[in-house]
Amino acid sequence: MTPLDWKPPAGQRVLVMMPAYNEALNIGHSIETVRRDAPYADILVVDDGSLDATAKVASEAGARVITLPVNLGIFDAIHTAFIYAYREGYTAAVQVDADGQHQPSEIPVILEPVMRGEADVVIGSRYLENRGYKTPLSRRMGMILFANVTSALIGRRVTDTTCGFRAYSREAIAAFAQETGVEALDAVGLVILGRAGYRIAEVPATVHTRLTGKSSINLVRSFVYPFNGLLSLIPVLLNRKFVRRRPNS
Amino acid sequence: MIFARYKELALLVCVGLTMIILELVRRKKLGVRYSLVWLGVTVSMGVISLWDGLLDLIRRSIGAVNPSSTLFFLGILFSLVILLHFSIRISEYSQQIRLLAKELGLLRERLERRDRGEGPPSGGS
Repeated sequence: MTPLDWKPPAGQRVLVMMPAYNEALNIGHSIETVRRDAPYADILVVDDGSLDATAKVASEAGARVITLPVNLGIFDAIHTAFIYAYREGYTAAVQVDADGQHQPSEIPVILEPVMRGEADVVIGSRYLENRGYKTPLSRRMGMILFANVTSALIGRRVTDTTCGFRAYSREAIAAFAQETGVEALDAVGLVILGRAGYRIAEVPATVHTRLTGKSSINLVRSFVYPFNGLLSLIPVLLNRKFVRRRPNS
Repeated sequence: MIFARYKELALLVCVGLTMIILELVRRKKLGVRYSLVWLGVTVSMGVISLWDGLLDLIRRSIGAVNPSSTLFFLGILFSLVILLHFSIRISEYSQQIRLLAKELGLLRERLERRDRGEGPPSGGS
């Protein structure tokens, strides 16, 4: 069976979450690709207070759109999507970047472990296998440091903590949706869930370079980012009950 | 020790500040909650300026040489405490505003869906 014929098991409802900020040029194509390659899923775009026509383009391309009245940052945009997924009763959620870097045809690959009930978070890793994704050294350094810290804290090896291509189980959706105090959901989110008994898995994924436009991460931010991330870990480590423990674990 | 003229000046500042605070509360520019903190400041300033021995007592108890440095120390300490207090408040408000913005976005999506006559999402199944 090719990935394009893949369907989630009966009773499973999948939401594709796309946080977007000023992505009017890319998002139409990204949504079309998801609709073509993952027709079983609903698509939710969280327009993070964009100044361009992101919301309009996304809506016309057939996605559900939540428009945030002000720019809150990517983590709050994703958090909004988690609240939506939780309230609307989705059993699984997949996070995909709006800029077309990820392959919607690979969604089944990261969804499978969740569907089989083997994992609560599945990361589509750029570094688990060498598939030609190139990262500037300045960013790679912080990422390696962060991946190592995260791996040590959750007791499980992860190679890509900053990747925006992930699948989540209903349990993980519920945990994130009910968590309001977290300021970042990427590596910090992994540590929170990992320490609360949620199962984290990684599969290799192919990630392209951006279609058009600039990445939101510049050189200065790539240096500040790891420190900022390590700082956001402090409340997580000091507070054992950051999220409720995974049910039945 | 504080010389007589400084005492009068300090009292004047206290009375002036108290009147400004009360006026701000009256015009609803300052919440009652914060006005209490600032009234506490003016009252303690007044007490220190009127009661000569008090500053010297504090000075000796913290081992300072100079009464004016004791006064500055207390002032800086108070400023730090109130700055920390405001940082906590800002964090609290920031979190509340973020949550409100998210709820607003979620509600608007639901409303627009209803206006289009659509039901809840199906999940593609």
